[in-house]
Amino acid sequence: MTHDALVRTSEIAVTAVVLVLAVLLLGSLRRMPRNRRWLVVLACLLLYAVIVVPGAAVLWFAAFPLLAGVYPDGVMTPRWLWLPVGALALAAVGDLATGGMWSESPWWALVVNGQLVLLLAQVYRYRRRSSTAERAAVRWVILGTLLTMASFAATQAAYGSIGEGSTGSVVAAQLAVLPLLVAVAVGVLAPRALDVDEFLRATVVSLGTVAALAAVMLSLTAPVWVRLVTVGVVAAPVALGMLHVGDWLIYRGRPDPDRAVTRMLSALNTPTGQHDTPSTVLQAFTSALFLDRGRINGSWFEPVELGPQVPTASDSESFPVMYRGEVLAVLELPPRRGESTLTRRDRRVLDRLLAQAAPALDAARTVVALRDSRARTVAAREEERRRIRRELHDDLGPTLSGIALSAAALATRTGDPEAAQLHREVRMAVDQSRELAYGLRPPVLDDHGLVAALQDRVGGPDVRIDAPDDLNLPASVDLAALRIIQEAVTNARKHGAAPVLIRLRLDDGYLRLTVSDAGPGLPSDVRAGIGMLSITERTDEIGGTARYDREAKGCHLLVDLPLAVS
Amino acid sequence: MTTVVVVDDHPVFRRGLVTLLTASGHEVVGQARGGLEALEVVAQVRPQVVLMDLSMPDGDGFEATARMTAEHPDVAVLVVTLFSDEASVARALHAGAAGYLGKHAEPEHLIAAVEAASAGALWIGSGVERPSFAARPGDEQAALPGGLTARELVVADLLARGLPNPAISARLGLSTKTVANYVSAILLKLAATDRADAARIIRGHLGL
Repeated sequence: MTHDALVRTSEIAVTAVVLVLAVLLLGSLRRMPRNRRWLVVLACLLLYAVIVVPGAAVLWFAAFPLLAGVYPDGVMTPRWLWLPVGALALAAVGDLATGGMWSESPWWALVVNGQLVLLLAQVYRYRRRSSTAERAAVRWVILGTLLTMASFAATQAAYGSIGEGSTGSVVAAQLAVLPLLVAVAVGVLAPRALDVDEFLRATVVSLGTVAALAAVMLSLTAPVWVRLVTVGVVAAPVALGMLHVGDWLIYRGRPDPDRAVTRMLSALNTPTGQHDTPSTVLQAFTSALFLDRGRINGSWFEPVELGPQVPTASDSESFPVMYRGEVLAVLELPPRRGESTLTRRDRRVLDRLLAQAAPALDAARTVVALRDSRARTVAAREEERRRIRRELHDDLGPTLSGIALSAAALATRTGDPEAAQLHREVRMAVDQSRELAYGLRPPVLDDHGLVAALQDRVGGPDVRIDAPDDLNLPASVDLAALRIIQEAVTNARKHGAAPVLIRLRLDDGYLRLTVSDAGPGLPSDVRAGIGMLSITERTDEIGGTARYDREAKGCHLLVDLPLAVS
Repeated sequence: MTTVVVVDDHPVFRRGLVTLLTASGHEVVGQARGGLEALEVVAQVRPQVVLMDLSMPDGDGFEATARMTAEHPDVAVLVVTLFSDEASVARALHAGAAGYLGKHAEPEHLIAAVEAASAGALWIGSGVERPSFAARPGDEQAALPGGLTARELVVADLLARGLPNPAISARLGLSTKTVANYVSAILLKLAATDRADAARIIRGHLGL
């Protein structure tokens, strides 16, 4: 092919692409008739005309300012921008009319530099006003600009000139504008159809790597083979570094799906209780997506909220955590500050996190359900034992004792050896029933209540008991409280110092008990001893919580026991 | 022969007591099912000894014992109860009871306790948690050291264990002033110079 034929072919190709884009843009207007976007489409068409129509180059000063002012939603932001845009358009038309006279004048520099205002306006709009889709549209343009500039740079590097001299340079220069034209159109037509961020990141990484390596190649003053070896050695580190740069530029350090999952799993792999799992999961989501608030709720735990204000249904999106066909929890996540929705990458991170959070939440739910069920079983068992003991102690016992006394009276009056035998046998039954009742529950607990039982079991001059008058506790709670306090007072007498203070309070459906002493307190390196283990066991059994307050002076055991099992 | 009133809400046990007392040659002159009824019956028949249950739906036995011994100082109240803890024993003795037995007590012990009570002696049955002043093993009948009354003994016991007056008053449900009165009476009877001295004397008496 001759030089002219090649140039003509590329011209035709560019024109064809521009025509197709123009038709698509005009077509998009029909789909949404009541929309200000016709202004953007108009600006795009003007820009295309500047590029493909010979001699219309000066209209750039009408097309570019308009596009920069209204891109991508068709609304001039801020409104006063119409003034500079109008002035620049007027200058362009005037120059066209006067046959290029105006552009020769010294004040024309004002027109050229005036475009800067429009660029600043785009920056302002991007940072303050734009929705997520609009930001994506702008990023398409940035992507197109990068690719076009890179093409120009490559043309310059290959032919030593842009659009002049050799055939290749002219053709390359013509084709180089295509990425920008296509990107502008995509930004208007479907900014979120493809993930612009991934393209942008790949572009930044590859262009940055190539540019850095080219700089190394050109700047060294050594033989060619040395430069080639140097480039070969630094290529991999430079590429890796560029990956990080690209990640930071595009995602601001937000973790990718793999890293987000790794972080969540290691956060879940801590010895905190299964009750905290929903909260941990929520934190994994908000920290992976850089959200400043969020909420998780479900039927088996108290809703957890993060952040300054509760997300409302209007701005948050709901993500159910499904596992084996069941909804375990629902996450409500708002977009990042400044965004109007979650990006495509956010959704990939979300999907991976949701898939990994589901089994963790399922396990937590199972453990919580088991704990509740055990607490219910223990509560029912103790109520039953209390009832049986009461029957044995208050009714069957005295009945047998009365019969024994009557038999003894009979033996005394008649001197009948069979009556004496009867008396002995009934007395054995009396003793059996007493032992049975004693083995079921500590008698003083049910006869006189927890405080009396404490006086009886741990009371002394070194112990003070501070409790409300009427403690009417479930059978499982008073027994657990008695055992826990016995253990704690034993510990305090062994390691601490008098006085030992026992404090009982009924509060918000809990029996809150505190055992504190004036001793040296727990050494910081001491983990749970046998005493603490049995205290924890007793507490767990009925669904309560136990901890040592390490802030306070002395040794302070704090235990909360729920009065009713959920 | 001793005249006795039996106070218990449990019908089978009450009948057993009555039968046993009658068979042992004592006279049951009245029965009651609760503390309030017991006060009326005792006021009418003036027995020598009352067998008193502690936990009754109609009138608590501690309260009835206290009122009965206040109104009729000549009536000896012997507590026969299901409670076997030390605090109940101390409380009952403090209310004025002349003795304390479990309902599971041997028949012969019951009879012996009734006879001891009518003779004005203190009786703490086996099988109940005995306060330390009555803690000598194998000794059902405890002597009152230093001429102390049963009530004073209860306070003296706590004093000997080192409890300050407010703790004693909290333990026995008395005002601190009443406790202070008891303590000075104890010091006087034991001819002690101060609390520590009294505590030492009492500990010696009780073998603590």
